[in-house]
Formats: sequence, C-alpha cells, structure tokens
Amino acid sequence: MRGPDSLGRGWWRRNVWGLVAVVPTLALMLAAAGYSDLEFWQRGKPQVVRPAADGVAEFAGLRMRVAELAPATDLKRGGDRPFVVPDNMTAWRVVLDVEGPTDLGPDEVVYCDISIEDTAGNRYGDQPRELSSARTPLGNCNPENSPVPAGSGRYQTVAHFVTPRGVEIAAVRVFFGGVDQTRYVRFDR
Amino acid sequence: MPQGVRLVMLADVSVTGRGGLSRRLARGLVDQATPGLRWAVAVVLLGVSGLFGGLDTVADPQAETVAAGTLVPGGPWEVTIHEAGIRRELGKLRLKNEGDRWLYVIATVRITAEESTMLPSDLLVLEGVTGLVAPTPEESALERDGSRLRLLQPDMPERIWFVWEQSGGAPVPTSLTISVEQRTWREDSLGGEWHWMDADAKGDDNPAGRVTVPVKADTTPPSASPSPSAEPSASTRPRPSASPKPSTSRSPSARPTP
Amino acid sequence: MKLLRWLGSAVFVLAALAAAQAVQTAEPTLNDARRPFPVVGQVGEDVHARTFTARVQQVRCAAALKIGEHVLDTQGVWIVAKLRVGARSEPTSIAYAAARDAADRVFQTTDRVSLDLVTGGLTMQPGLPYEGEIAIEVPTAAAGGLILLLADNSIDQRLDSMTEIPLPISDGSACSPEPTTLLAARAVS
Repeated sequence: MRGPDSLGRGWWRRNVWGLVAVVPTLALMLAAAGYSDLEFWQRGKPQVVRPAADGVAEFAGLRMRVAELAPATDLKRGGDRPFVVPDNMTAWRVVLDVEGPTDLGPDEVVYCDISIEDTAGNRYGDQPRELSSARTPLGNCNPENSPVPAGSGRYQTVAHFVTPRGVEIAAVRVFFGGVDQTRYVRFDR
Repeated sequence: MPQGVRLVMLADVSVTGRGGLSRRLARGLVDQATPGLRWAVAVVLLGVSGLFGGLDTVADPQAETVAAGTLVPGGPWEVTIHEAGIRRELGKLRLKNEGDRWLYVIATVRITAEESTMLPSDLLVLEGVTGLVAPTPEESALERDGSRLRLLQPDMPERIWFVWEQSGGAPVPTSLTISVEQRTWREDSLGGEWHWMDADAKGDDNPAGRVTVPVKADTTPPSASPSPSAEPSASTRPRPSASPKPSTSRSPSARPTP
Repeated sequence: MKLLRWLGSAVFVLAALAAAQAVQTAEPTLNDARRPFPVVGQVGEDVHARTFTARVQQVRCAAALKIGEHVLDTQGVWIVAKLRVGARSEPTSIAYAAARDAADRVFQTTDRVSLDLVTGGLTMQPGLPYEGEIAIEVPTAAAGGLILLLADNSIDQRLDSMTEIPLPISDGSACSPEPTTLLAARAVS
C-alpha cells in the first residue's frame, strides 16, 4: 500500500524487520546452496592424521610406522640382473612395519596407497612406469605382499618410487581410500 | 456468470497490484465476449504458441522405407547403405560356431555432429532376419585399412563394413531391411546439459530411416584369398603402435586390441 | 476505447512473453557454463594447465602415416604435433587430445594408432617429463587455424583446465605428400 497505514507508520517502519532478516536469510540460502559443493571440494583435500611421539600411527584398524625411507640402489630386473636407474632420477624405497590381521580373505584386506612428498610439496606415486622392468613388490598393505613372512599380526609393506635427482623427501603419505576418503596418515621425515 | 466472476477475481490479484484497471479490462472483455471477439482471442493465442514452436510440423512417426544408396540423416550422423552380402569366410574373422555364415553391410557414415563420435553398436539394426548370433554386429571395420571402427571424425565420411554372424541353420536372406538409429540434440532432463540423445527417455524411438537392400550371394570359391579391393584388407587386426618394437618382430604389433 | 485498451494489454503480454523467450534463447546453455577453462599458449612455450605442463615443440602435416610396415592414409590430412609434457605436482597423465578448427568442430587424436602419450595410460611423476608425437586426422580444408586441446581426463573435461595452443599450419595444401613416421612416447633424459 502507498502512504502511511492506519497507524500512521511509513513503509520503512512497517518493513524494518523484514529488511533486517534479508541479510542472514541470504547467507543461509547461499550456504545451503553451496554446502554439498564445499563438502565435495574438501574431500579433495584430505585431513592429516599424524603418528604418536613413538612414530606409530593408528588408522583403519592397523598400527604402522615407517621402518625405512631411503634411496633404493639395489633394484633387480628379471634374472637377477641389476636394474640401472637413469641418471636424472633417484629411486626410493619405503618400508612400513604394520601390525594388523594377517589371515584375511581376499575381500577383507584393507588396501592402502603409499606416496611420498618432497620438500616442495610435490607428490610421487608408487609403481611408477620408470620402474616397470624392475622387480618390486606391491606396496598396498596386503599381508600377502609382505617381503618378510607375515606372522602373528605383524608384516611389512614395501613401496618404490622415482623422483628427479636432487629432490629431498619430506614425508610419507598413506591413504586408505576404501575406508576413509577424507583423511590420510602422514609420517613427516 | 460464475465464469465471469472467477475471471474478475483472478484479474484482481494480478501483478498490476491495483485492482482498478485490470478489473475494468477483464470485465470489459467478458462483457464484450461476442463470438467474433472469441475467435480473435483464439487466433491471437495460436499465434503466440506459434512463436514458441507450437505450430511446427511433428516428425512423421512412420519412416518410409528407402532403397540402398539413399542418404539417411540420423542426427549426429548421415548413413548411406550401399550393399549387403553373405560370406562363408571374411578375412581373418573367426565364426563362433562352425557352419555359420557372415552377413555384411557396407555403409558410408559421415559425422555431422561437431565433434569426434563413437558410433553406437545399434546404429544399424537388421529387421526380418532370423538366426543372428547377436543383434549387434560382431565386427565393424573401416574399409580403408581394416582397422576396427572406433571414433569417426566430423565431416570425414568413411566406408564401413558392419558384419553380423548368422546361424547356418537359419534361411539365407535375399534382401535385408535395415533401420538406422536416430539421435536428437536435446537437453538432458537429469543434468540439464545438451547432448545427442534418444528422442525419449525410454530409448525406444523411431529409426531415422529404413533401407532395403538386396543380399548378394557368396560368389567367392571356398578358401580362396579374398580380393583386397572388395573387403577390409586385414579385418580388425590389432592397431599399430607408435611405440618402438623389437627389430625381430614381423607382426605389426604384439599388442592385443583393447 | 475499451477495445483499444484491451489490444494494448494484449500487446504488452505478447511483448513480455517474447522478451522472456528471447532471453532464454540468448543465455548460454549449461554446456557453455560448464566448459573447460582455457589455458592459452604458443608453440615452443610451456603451457601450465592445472595438473600438467605441455609444450608443443614442432607441428607438421602429411598425407599419410607410416607405422612400421603399415601406411595409414586419410581422405584429409594428418596433423602431427611433437609434444613435451610433464606432471606438475601430482602423478598425472594426459588423457584427452584434440584439435578444434575455425568452425568449432573438434577432432580427437586418431585411434587407428596407439598414442600412449595422450590416451591416459602414461602416468608421469612430477619433474620427469615425456615427449612424443601425436596425430590427428582432419579435413584438408580445416588444416589451417587449428587449436590443440589437451586435458587430463578422457571422459569429462568440464570445469577443469584445458590447453589451447594454436597450431601454425597455414593450410592443408602445404602438407607433405610423403608418409611420415611418429615418434613414440619416451622419457626426456
């Protein structure tokens, strides 16, 4: 309606609470609209789970620690011949000691994805094609791939990587995508 | 008069906000609703619907059957079927069952869509033929070099052999009726994006066209080497790879076709 | 007078409807709203997409390809581009490569030859680039004015970055009539 109402109040006074409510309502509307996209985006940035002071991390029902993180210089190809790493790259080996169930059926295994991160934040994946002709075990937390005999709840998982020569490794990342896509275990060097 | 009253009430709450003008207009409209005016209203409304496509001709649901060699436009592709035939042997293809025969159709397909397109396996459907091992072709290959048909590039028509396997016990067809799949450029009701899709959500829509083509009998003598000009030179052999091969290898590529 | 008023209202209604239809037709479709983000660069320079870097080192065109003993002919021409590609900070592969012509038609790399470099099978580690040649079949008339598109996802390139590198071929008639070979993908040492 135009002009003052029966009580003599103008338009602004009649609608002041509506106007005040516009801002928070707008904010809520935007949040509701963007919430699922924000969650999707956050899933691309998993949260970090760090080990305890003793270096052991507990996650996905397993206890694990990094037993070795060092350049791999003794890789072999088929027939026990040495695998020569090209000059422009360094091969790395990561060995995890794992405590967890060792007598698992094939669909009970909790698989992991191990990667290493350098000081610049670049991430390198295991089983790189640069090492495809080297004989390397599968580093996926399956007790069956343990290079030392898996027994009474303890085994090892070993993964290999390549990086450009001269790169410094800052961390080992272990991701259990089948269990939790929003977090990963990070062992800082 | 209840009709007229309702009309007036609707006009009252219309967007103009004030009931005055619209109420008077609507009442004036109703009061003057002589038959002549009603006709005028109807014509105007039809014209408005025409603006939005209401008067476009509906596509003829029953596509007529055409002869071989006719261009059949199907949306993202245009298909011209040239010939069909029977073969006991066809290059290096292997029959699943002994005694079966190969039924082939040669067609030129031109992509009219704006990007490289993979043809669906049911692009051509054979009608009235019994005993097919599968309704979709066992193989489809470019006549140019015998490579398996995958992506076709826009505006680069290719002659393609589509090959079905027919059971040896089924009667040999003397002519084939082939229906060509149709796709429409439309908005996907789920995602809101535009794609080449079947005309309705269930997928059973009308073909773009039906082509009849006589079936050539198998005139090649048994176990004679096929003439290179008449068929793919090396049917669906593995794709050559740009990767280096050991020098002792004789075959084009040891890689199996994925 | 009443008739004139009525006609006037009818005209307003029709104009509003027509304007709404015009707006709806003119506004971009969802296809356009979700299109990839272009990253433009020139031949010879590094073009940084979100997950990979690509450099077109050389472009040529030919009437046929020679792969081993096989000669692959075409009704148009073969565009051959020598690429150097690398992952930026995560293990990545190039899984989509195509050329867009002046009429906005998109021609994907041929699948008559296995092109491992751009079909998603070659995962690269950061800092360890690869090079190789790719081939695209285009109509002769479309050979001039092509733009090379590269992306890291073979199925869905929406809303992610895609390189756009103009290919300096003046026109299809300048293509070599001799079959040309393709350099297979190899690590850059």
